[in-house]
Amino acid sequence: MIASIFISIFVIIFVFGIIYVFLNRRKYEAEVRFLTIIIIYFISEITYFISFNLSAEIFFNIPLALIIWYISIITRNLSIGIFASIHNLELNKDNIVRFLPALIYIFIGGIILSQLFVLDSFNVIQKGFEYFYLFNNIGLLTSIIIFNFCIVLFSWIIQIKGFHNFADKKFGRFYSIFMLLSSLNIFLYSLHLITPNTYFKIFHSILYLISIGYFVFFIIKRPNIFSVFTNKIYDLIIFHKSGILLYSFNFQTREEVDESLLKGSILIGISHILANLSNVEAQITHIKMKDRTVVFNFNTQLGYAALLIAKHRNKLLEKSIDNFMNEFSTINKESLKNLTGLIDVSTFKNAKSLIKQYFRHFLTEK
Amino acid sequence: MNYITPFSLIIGYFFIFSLGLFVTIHIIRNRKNYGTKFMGLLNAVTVFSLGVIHATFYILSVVFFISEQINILFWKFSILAWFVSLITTSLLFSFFREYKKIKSFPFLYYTLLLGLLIGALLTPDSITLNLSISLSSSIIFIDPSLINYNFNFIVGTIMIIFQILIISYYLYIAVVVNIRSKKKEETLPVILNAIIFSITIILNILYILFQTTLFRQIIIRELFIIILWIAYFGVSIMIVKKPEMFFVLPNRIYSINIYHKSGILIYSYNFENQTEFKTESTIWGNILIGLNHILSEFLDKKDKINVIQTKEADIVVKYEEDSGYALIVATNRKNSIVEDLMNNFSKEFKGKYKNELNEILDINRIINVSEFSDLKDLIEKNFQLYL
Repeated sequence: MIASIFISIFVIIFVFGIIYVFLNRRKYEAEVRFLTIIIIYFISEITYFISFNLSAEIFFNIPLALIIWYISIITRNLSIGIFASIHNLELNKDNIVRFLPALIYIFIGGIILSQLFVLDSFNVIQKGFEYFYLFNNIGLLTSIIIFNFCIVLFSWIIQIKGFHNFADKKFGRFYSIFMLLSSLNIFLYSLHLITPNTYFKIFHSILYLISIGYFVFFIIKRPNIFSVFTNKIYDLIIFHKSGILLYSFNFQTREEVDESLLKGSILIGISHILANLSNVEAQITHIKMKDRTVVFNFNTQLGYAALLIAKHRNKLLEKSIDNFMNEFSTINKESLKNLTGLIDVSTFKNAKSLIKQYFRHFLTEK
Repeated sequence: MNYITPFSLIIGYFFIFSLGLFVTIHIIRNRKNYGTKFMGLLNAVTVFSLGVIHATFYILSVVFFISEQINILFWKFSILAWFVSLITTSLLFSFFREYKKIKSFPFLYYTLLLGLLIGALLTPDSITLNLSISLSSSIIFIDPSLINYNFNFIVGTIMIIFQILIISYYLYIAVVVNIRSKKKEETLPVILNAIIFSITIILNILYILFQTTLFRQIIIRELFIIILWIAYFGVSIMIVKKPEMFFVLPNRIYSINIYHKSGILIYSYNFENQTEFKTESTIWGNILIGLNHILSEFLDKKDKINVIQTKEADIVVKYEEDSGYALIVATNRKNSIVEDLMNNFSKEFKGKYKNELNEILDINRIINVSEFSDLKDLIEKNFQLYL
């Protein structure tokens, strides 16, 4: 009975979230690899919560309930492992040991998986209308507890140390709340495994639904969640081969930069580069600085180049700049071809609407 | 009881143990010769794990009988040491391809399989000991053919899958390195290593596969350890004698340019034809100045260019603000090996041309680049392995 209530609420939240995201899919953008991992994560979460609740139902015979319980343990570890790994990797992007937490999770996950093959790992007992599972295999219980402990510990260390890496601080604060809920959730789950107690189980399920509900709410509210986890764009600069600055936009102030502010040095720089443009265009892809990356995109036919200053270069960003350049070339083709004599750069103010269109995810809160 | 085999194994063990200790100490003391300290450390871990830990537990578990539990425990430790060595060797192989650019998937699988293996080894009856004779005393010197270990199905399967993946990875890397390398003879040690290690691993797989059949009588296990120790001896000599192969293979240096802060090219050296060349280098100087000018408008003045990535190469930039010049190296991939070489070269360059560099700190002074024309020797000294 309780299981069916929990599962129903869970299904309602998920179905609502999936329908919303599907109907508004244009708003969401993410790298294919990242999206695949997120889908695997959600499938694991769905499988976990349903199997966790169903495994207690005496409607099933003991062997079948035990199989469902095994599924719940595997998917639980898989889902929290995936989520923690993504979080840790993204926030630790520039760290030399960024893969270490994920490797530790996979390593302990492997031990758990092996231990699940040990016969009679659980003692199934029936209390009232529910099954409860007592651990006979202490190695399995210990490895699950260590796994949960590592996830909570590493995630908090990385969250605190890497908070400044969040491109959108509001998202960072949201994530801290979500992590607090998840940590409590993991704690209650661990307590339930150690002492199969109904209250721990119910509290865990309620908190789980609140966390998932909160997460779905945020996905709906912030469609840029997948594209700007830690990435950030600072400036977009477009200049012509003659050395003239055609357009410049600052993503932090969300304002166009007046060309009169771009004094001497930038013009010297442009003329230096453009004097060698034929050598540069086929070669330079991007420049790495200490904390930033400068992505270059040249258009040789129309003789202009775009320079994007961002925190990291990724495929999503490259795709956005390619689309932007294509559109910019199309609508300004004639103006760019006829750039002679007195040049009116105000023609290129139309770039702002293109920025809003192609870089909308990166126009984060100030 | 036959004592020839155990005595031979013990003699071999002492030799390998001493060699392992010697090579480990040698690597740690000369870790800088291996490109980076990390590379040196990785070599030391591999050598120590295989020559000292694995060999010790192997001997303790097959030549001595202490008790069933202790012997099984030693045998499990020897298995773990073996797999740890295989993983560190895989890391070294991956660095031959590209330094510190590890393809994540093989190593995620290895980590998962290592976890699965440890979990499986922790289960009761994962490994059982079969003694062909009954023994009365507790600690006894024994003929290895009389002591056999049987793996259960899960442990055996994990070990076989793990080792098949490792062999595939070694051979794949050896082929890739050979295809990419311009000097095929340089890649010969990598190919040889891959083949020898693969043969050893195949013997181990055969031992697991035929553990319960008559094949075990023809001492596959002992054949495995003998071939492994021979390979270990060869590899140890190679590690001691040719430490440069760990950083020459993954790196290629195309050119070195030195620019004055005014943008004037002070010196240029091309590694492809070992000449001093200027045409293209002047272009890069201009580009660099241009980029710095543009970026200084948008970024913090201290945030200077580290590397310019092009489709063909990485242009690594090292600024020496105190001496007023920038060192630019065109390489296939920026990594700490190249950075270390640049640091050493720059240090020597500053020392040798201290007066000349001080004179041209004032950008209004005329720069006489011919003062730096004898830089060729310094470059050839510091980057001789890439010539």
